[in-house]
Amino acid sequence: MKRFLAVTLGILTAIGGFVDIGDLVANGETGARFGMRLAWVVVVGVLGICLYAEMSGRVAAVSGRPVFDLVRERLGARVALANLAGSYLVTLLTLSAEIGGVALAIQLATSVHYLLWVPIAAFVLWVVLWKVKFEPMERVFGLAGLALVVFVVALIALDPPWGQLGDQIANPVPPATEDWATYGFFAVALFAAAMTPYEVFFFSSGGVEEKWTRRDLVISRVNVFIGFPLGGVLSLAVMGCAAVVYEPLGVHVDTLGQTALPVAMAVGKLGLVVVILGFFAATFGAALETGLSAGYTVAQYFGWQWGKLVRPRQAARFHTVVLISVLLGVALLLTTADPIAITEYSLVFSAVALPLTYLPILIVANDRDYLGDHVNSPFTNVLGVTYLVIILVVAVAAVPLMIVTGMGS
Amino acid sequence: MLISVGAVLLALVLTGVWPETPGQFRSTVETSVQDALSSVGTAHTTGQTALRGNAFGPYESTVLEDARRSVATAITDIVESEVPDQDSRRLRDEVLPLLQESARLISDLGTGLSEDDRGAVSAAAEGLVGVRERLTAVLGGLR
Amino acid sequence: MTDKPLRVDFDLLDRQIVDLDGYLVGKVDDIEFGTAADGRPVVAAILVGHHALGRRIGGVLGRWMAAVARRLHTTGDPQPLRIPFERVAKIGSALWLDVRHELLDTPALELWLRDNVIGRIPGASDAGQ
Repeated sequence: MKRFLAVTLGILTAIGGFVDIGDLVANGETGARFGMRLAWVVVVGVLGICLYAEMSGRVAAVSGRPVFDLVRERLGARVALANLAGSYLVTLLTLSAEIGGVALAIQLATSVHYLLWVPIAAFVLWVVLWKVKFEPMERVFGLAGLALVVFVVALIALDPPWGQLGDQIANPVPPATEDWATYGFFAVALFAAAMTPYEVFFFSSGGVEEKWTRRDLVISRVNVFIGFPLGGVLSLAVMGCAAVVYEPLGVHVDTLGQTALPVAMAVGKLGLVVVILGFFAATFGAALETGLSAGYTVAQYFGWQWGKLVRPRQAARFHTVVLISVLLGVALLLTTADPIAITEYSLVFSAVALPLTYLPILIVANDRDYLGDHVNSPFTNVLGVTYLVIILVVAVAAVPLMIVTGMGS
Repeated sequence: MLISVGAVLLALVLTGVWPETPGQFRSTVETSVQDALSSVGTAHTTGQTALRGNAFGPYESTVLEDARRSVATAITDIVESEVPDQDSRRLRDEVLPLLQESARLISDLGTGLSEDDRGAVSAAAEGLVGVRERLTAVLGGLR
Repeated sequence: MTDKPLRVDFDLLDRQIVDLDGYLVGKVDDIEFGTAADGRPVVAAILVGHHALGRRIGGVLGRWMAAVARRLHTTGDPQPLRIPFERVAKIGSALWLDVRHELLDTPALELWLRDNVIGRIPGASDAGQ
């Protein structure tokens, strides 16, 4: 019974923790402009993150080492340093976007300008990172993130023309008002939102912090293969709500307030409260994850002591990197750069950096030195290589599409 | 190396100061009209949701504030652009009043909601429907 | 250790070093060779520190990294941490030492940040979480 509870809790945490500011922005924008015509990208992205999160969880459980720790051994100090630079910058940009998302969520509830909330949110974030134990931290925000299930409720309550939505899913081409370049740009953004690199840094490092062993492999797999797809359902519900309410009006979505509006329409005041709470929990939880991930990547490259299992004094360099990263994230927001725009850039650059994260995972997951008999099966490798090809195409296409479409405008 | 950096910088500067072509002006207007349409649509839906009692004050004012700012930016973008020819001037004169009307109605909606004046809210929401139709028509013509 | 020959580039360099208690000491940033009695080259020690890493990476970035490491020192003569190879108990997905990290020199950067930044924040000495 206790084990069942632990598994359920893990799944629920994975669902709530799946959605972050990137998913909220990308799915809302895409739903409004393309209906459900890009829904397939979410499905492809969720399968990809499942595949690679399982690999990195397996590496963590069997070798006792997080993935990024092994990158330097296999790629060499120099290539891994370039990899570190790319991964760190993308994680930092994502961290900034998440902190902005927290501030925007509070603005929706208070109408006080988000810039005033940025320093407060960042301070609270840092205190939680400093003080709170790893597991309750992950649990509380993961479970609170489940509030976003209200998007599923709202979509059903809106009683949409299901047949029409189904037609859009079945006809994955741009609508008359959009061209192929913008279609491609939003496909890249959605894919990057589902496969954001920090998720695997965090997942494998978290596995090591929770001292996973081979015995925990099953739990890790259940979390990934059930939790992430259900998280993907939340993403699709966000897209669906925007599709139903905004697409017929020709309205483009570019604020969190707009993303929440369909819920208010369909579920009312209480729904609106729940959705804002969900925004807060999802972005705050993701800010914790990205803040830690920023520290993980640097500390694991240099071999420094990292993590929350030791006294902060014993991991001074790790905690300094986390602190500086939060401060840099805040500094970027305080330039008054629009948090939604920061999110969009973080998605584009995540897309560019995807191969840096996922190629090493595939290599390490095939290494008998670390994994013994738990190396990838041929089937997993076929899928893994297929995804690597997709990831490379996305990475190469991201910046040209961004320039051609002017960030999709 | 230095030469290519210099060439890129020069290209950037030139594209920044080069006179606007009618095509560019048209695309600026198109973006502005689309932004206004988005804001008007959002504001109207927010107004209706608020009238049914399905939202609360801080949320409504945040959404309407975002919408109003977005229209203001759309107006500024057009006004700041150089008008390259007669056709562009006609386009500007057609669109600008519509954008101003949008900004005014969104403002009125916000004031009505904060003063809890249902009559004013309904009137503004009704006005927004009309503006939305006209914006949609203009956008259709621009595409 | 296994019967397989030890490949310095594949099995040693860049691998994580862990002490007796599981504390992360650093990476194998470089290796010092010596000569055995019969004249064969042997691994004498593993070197840890940004100076060693910087030297190995080379180029502008490597020189810069080594220069920063030389600046950050607590003694007059900054050197990478040198761990005699006899202290390595096991080589696997990491290098396990048979000593505690307290017996090794603490890297200057860690020491400085501990004393001047992290150690000054309330709660820095609270038990691990």
